[in-house]
Amino acid sequence: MKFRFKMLVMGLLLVLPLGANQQRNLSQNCPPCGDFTEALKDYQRIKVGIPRKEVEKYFERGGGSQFPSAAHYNYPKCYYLHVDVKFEVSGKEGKPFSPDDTVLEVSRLYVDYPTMD
Amino acid sequence: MTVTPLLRAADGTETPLSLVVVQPQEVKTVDLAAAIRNSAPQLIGTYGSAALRYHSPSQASLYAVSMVMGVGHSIAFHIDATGEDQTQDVGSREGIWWLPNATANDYLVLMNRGQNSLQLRLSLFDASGKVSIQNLILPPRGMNRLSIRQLVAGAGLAGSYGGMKVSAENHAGSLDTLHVLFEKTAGFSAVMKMFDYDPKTQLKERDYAKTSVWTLRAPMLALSNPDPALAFPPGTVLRPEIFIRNTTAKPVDAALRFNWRTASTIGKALGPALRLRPHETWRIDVAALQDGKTLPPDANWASVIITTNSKPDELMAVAASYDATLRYGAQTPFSDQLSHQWKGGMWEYDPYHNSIITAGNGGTKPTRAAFTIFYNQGTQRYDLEQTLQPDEQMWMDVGKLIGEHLPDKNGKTLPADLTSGSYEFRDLANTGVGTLFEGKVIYDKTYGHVTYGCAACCGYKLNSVLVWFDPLGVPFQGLGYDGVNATDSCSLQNFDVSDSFYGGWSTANTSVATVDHYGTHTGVSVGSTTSSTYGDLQMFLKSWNCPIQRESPGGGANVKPTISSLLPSTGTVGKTLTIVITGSGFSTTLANNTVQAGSGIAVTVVSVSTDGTTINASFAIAPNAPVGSSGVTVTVKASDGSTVPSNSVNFTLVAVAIPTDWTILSEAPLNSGALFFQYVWSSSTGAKADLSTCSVGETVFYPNYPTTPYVWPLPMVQSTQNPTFPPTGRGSDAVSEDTNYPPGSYQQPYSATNPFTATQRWWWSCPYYNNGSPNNFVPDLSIVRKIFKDTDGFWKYQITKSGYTNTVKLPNQ
Repeated sequence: MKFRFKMLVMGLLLVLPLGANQQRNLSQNCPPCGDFTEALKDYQRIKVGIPRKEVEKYFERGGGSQFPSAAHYNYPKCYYLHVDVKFEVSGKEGKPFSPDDTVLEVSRLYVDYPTMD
Repeated sequence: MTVTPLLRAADGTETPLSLVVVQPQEVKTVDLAAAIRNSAPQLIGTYGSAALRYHSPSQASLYAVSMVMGVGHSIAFHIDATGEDQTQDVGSREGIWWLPNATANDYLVLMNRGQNSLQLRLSLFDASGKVSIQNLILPPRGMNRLSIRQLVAGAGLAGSYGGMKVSAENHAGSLDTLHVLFEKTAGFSAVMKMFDYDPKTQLKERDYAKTSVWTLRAPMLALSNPDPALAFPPGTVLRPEIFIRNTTAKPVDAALRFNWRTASTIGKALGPALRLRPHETWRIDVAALQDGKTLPPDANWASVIITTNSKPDELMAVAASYDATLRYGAQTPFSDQLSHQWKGGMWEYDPYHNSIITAGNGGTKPTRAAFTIFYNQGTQRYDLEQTLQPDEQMWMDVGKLIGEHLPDKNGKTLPADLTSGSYEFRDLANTGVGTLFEGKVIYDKTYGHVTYGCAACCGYKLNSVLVWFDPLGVPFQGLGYDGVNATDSCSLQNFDVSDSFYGGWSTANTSVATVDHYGTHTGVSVGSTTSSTYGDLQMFLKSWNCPIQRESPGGGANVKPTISSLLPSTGTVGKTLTIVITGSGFSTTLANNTVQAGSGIAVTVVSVSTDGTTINASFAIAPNAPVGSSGVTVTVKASDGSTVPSNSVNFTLVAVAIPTDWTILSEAPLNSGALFFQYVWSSSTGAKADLSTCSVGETVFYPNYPTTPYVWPLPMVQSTQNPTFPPTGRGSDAVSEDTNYPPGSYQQPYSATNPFTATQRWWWSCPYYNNGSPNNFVPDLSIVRKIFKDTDGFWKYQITKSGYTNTVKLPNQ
């Protein structure tokens, strides 16, 4: 399946349809605009071929469903920033989501509501 | 029901009349005088009987009564229609003769309802028991009409009352009799009710109240001071009297009790205790007991209760209340019958008639009685209910119910112009053996005559008492529930009578199955046995006769192995799979288990667990095996050599590799308030690697879909895409994790929310199956979230899915 919600961070951040009650709360959880450069810097560390353990140094697995072959991540400093990653599973028996699974494909960094299920 | 009325002449010749169609609960009237004029004028001036022919699984489906009325006179007789009992050979009809004055006429009518000649012996007794006997023969379907006055005089018997017995040594169940008195000048008529006597009858068959004492009741004895409702002329004084007869050649003891009533009060009184010598008849002057010591002088009615040490029908009684002229009066019949259901005939209410209907509790414990009036051809009903203490009666003046617009239990009133209908009583507390007795009088305001009518008891139909399941399947180490149904003889509907069989249950082989007080069976070991119970039910034996019979229904009880799951439950043709069959009751001896599967599947039982709960079987599926579902069963050879099959569980064959058997591997409530799940699934080929091109994923739909985003209700602060559609995994993935989060934050002040539901759909798709369209793994799941104030006073967030719940306290409290 194709990755969804691939949006450029800077362009869309200003037009998200946030409720009045939530805007204050969400902005408290997200860095000022200038700090997105840090998120971009961390995102750029996710390269094809690196192990899962490297990905998870900078991003956290999000809510909803996660598969050994496909996971989606939240940026810890702002849960509205996401990246989806496909892995080549290491094939170790009985150890799904192995730290040694290697990155096969990386989506662009995008903005969306966190997945809650 | 289509009924054919017949006129039957004294010699048995029959003349059929026009068919009558009777709707459920409907009352229809046939004018026999008009029918004779129109269809059988040759019968004018003769006498005979009437018969009704109909087809029904039960004789009790039709209630019928014949009313013989002297037009222009206060003379009326009610004659209950009865059916022949072809099973009774020896027996008699027992009666009391009464000549209330020197001029009253009487008829003793003897009728043969059968197709065989009846040889009868007529015994007449005076009050002391002196007897005169003569023999009679009745031809098939024939009848005879005798005068007791003439017979008594001819026999030289003295007195104004005594006993009579009409006995038969063969075909006694074909005999019916009627004894009536009348005098046109005085405007007097009376029915001297006669009783069936069967020497084989035992007390336990007729001890409805379980008092070990045979008891007779007459529910509506009109006392000296008549009820104004009867509309007798002012100053009318009745002379209530009771005739009691010992029908046997041995002494019998009897005791009388009265439950009396005035317009405003009720009370109880003890009457005399009697010792009746052989064949003796007594007359009890009840009027004399209304001296203020036994019964109040102003009492209007009494129900009379006679208890005796005799067996059923060895003692009999007839009551009569007439004034000195015999012009005004009423009767009430004695009966021992108590029933859980009574079907009544016609009641009347118009400017010239009214009806009083009563039901009482003849048992020893309180009960709940339901009374229903049916009207408008049986299509409408009027319902009353009342709790009755022992001996207590509910008393319905139909004219009052109609005229005063009294509402029933549902607030419904009877139409003001209603003039007739039918009725029934039901004992709501005792459905096996009932404790209600009943009575009805219809009085004619023009002539001052009161006629009683009897309702018919509704016993259960013979041979209709059956266990719910035969055989009953009982899971190994599990429970199997059984009970008893019986068919009501009146409505022909089945009723659950299980409570009458509690405590009687047993199984033939307790090493196979046991059963408790209530019929709950436990499977002890795989095998076959039988299970049965016993209990007492009121059965419909013949018209107006619903004795207690011990019934012992039963059937087979098979303790079966049980399959709870197959894994995988889907296989691909041409593949060989190891199927894990989980359940219980499998034999721990491998060779004693046989697994049956669908066509084209060769099964080998590979292993069985030591506790008999798991079988590993190899399913070799032929390449040409038919695609689709078929059943899998495990048949176990029991220790007694019998083979017992399990339940059947579906196994599906497909042509390609597809994901199947998606299931929860683990669940955990997280401290954050989230619910965490791990899910796994199988491949129809047995190899997950075969699913590498398939996708597995979820979609979550929030309320108001497709409006997006969904803003969670405050104080939950969160928004989500609607639907949420996370990245998908591969069919070959070993597992999927799923975290269902709480909201990002909460807004204060806290308040309760209505729960909101997110619908989670798990699906798979394979590019080579149904053009890659998604297929649901399981029915949609509900994820329910809410904020509430708990009993400890704290606001809490709660999430529930698949029966799992996580509850966490909200911050800053």
